Amino acid sequence: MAATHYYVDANIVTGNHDGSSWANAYASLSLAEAGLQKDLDTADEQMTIHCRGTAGTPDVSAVLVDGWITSAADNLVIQVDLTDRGSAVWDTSHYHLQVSDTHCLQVNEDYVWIDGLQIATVSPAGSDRGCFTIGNLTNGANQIYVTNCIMKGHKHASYTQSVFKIGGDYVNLTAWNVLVYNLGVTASTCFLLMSGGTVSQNLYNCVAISGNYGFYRGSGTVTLKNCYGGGTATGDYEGTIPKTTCASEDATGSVGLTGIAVSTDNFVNVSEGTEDFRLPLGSALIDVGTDLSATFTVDIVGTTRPTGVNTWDIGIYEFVAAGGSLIPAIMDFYRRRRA
Amino acid sequence: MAEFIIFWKEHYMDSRDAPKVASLKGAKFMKYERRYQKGDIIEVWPDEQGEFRIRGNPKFALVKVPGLAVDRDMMVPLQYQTGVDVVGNPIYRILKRRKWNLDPTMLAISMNKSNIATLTMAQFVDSKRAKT
Repeated sequence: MAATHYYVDANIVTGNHDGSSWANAYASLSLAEAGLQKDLDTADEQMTIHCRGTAGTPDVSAVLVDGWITSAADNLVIQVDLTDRGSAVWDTSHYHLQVSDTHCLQVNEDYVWIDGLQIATVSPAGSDRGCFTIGNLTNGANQIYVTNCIMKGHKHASYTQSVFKIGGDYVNLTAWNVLVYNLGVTASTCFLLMSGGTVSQNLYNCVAISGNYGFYRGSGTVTLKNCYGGGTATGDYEGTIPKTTCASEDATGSVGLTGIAVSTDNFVNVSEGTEDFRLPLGSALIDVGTDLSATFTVDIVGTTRPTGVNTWDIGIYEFVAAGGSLIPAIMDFYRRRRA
Repeated sequence: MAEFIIFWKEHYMDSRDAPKVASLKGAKFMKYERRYQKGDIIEVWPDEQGEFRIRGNPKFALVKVPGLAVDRDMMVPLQYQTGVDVVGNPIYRILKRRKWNLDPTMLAISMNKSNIATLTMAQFVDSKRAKT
C-alpha cells in the first residue's frame, strides 16, 4: 500500500496549487477534495490531506467528501498535524473551517478519518447548519473516525442545529477527544447519533456543552466512555445510551459523576467567547475516567494519557501536574475536601 | 463581479463507469450520479478572489462574470428532503454534487491558455444549466 500526502493552506496565494507540498498547497479543503478524488482502493493507496492556516485566515468553503472509492486499508485521512494545531481551545491563528449558512463538512464516504480540525458554523439563515455530518454509507463496510476536533455552534436564538450529526444509516463511528460547544437552546443538539442497521457508534472522551441536548441517541447502538455533558436545557444525555464513567451537570451521567457543573471549578474558563475546557487543578473530572489505552493513548493536544485504574481524566484534555509530586498531593487534598 | 472556480477535468468515474452506467444499481448508481462533472461550480468568490486560489492547476478553470453578484446558491448540491430527524431538523439526500453546471463546451470557446474565461451576463445565463 502506498501512502500519499497532499497539502491545504488556507492562506496560500502562490505556487501551482496541486497540493504536492506546502509551497504548492491547495487553497481550501474543498478544492483539494475536488482535485484529488480517485479510487483509492484500486490504487492501493492511503491518502492523507494535511491542512493548515499559516496566517489565521479561515477556510470558508463547505466540504462534501464524496465521489471516492475507499476501503479499510486504503482510506482517506484529513488532518491538521499536531504541530499546526492550537492548544485545546478555539484558536483562529490555526486552521479552522468556518462556513456560513450551510453544513461545514459532510462525509459520504466509507473509510474516512478526520483528525485535529477546528470547525465552526456561522451566520445561519435557517436551521440545520451543522459542523459535521455523516450521510448514508455502505451497509456493513465502513468506518469513520473523528478525533481531536473542536466544533463550535452558531448559538442562534431561533435557528436550530445539530453540530455533530450522524444522519444516515449503516454508520460505524469511532470518535475521541471531540469538543462541541456554543449552541443555542432551541432544539439544538451537540451530538445527534442516529443510524439504522447493525452498526456501532463509540464516543470516547468527548465533551458536549450547551444546547438543548448534549448527547442524543436517536437510534443505533451508541456507547459512550469518559464523556462529559453539561450546560444543556433539557438533557446532557438523552435516549438509551450505555455509559461508562461519563459525567454530567444534570442527573443523566454515570452514577457518582453527576452534578459536575460547567464552571471554573471544573474547567479553566467558561466565559462565552474565551472558553477553555481544559481541566484546572481540582477539577472533578480528573482521574475519574476509564483507561482506554487499548483504543487510543493521547489527549487532544497529544499528551500521553497514563495507564491504570483511576488515571484517565474525563473529557478532551488530560490534566498534567506542573512539577513534581507535590501538585498531585494538593489535587488529592482538594478533591477529598470537595467530596 | 463574481468568479467561479470550475471543475475542469473528466472525473475518473466518467471513463470507468459511464460505459456500464445502465447496469449500475442502487448505491453504486447514486454514487456515480453524485460525482463531480466537468463544468460544475466548486466555489464562488467575489472579484479578484478566485484566480490566485487555483492558478497553475489544470484540474480547475476560472470563470469571471462582470456585474454578477456572488450567489452561494450556485455551489450547493442538488438534494431533496427525505424527512426530519428526532429533533425536528430536515434530513436530505444528495442526488448531484452540484445543482448548477456551466456548459463546458460553451466555456471552452472563451477559455484562454490559463483556463480563465470572462463571460458577459448573457453568455453566463446561456451556459448555466440546472441539473435534474
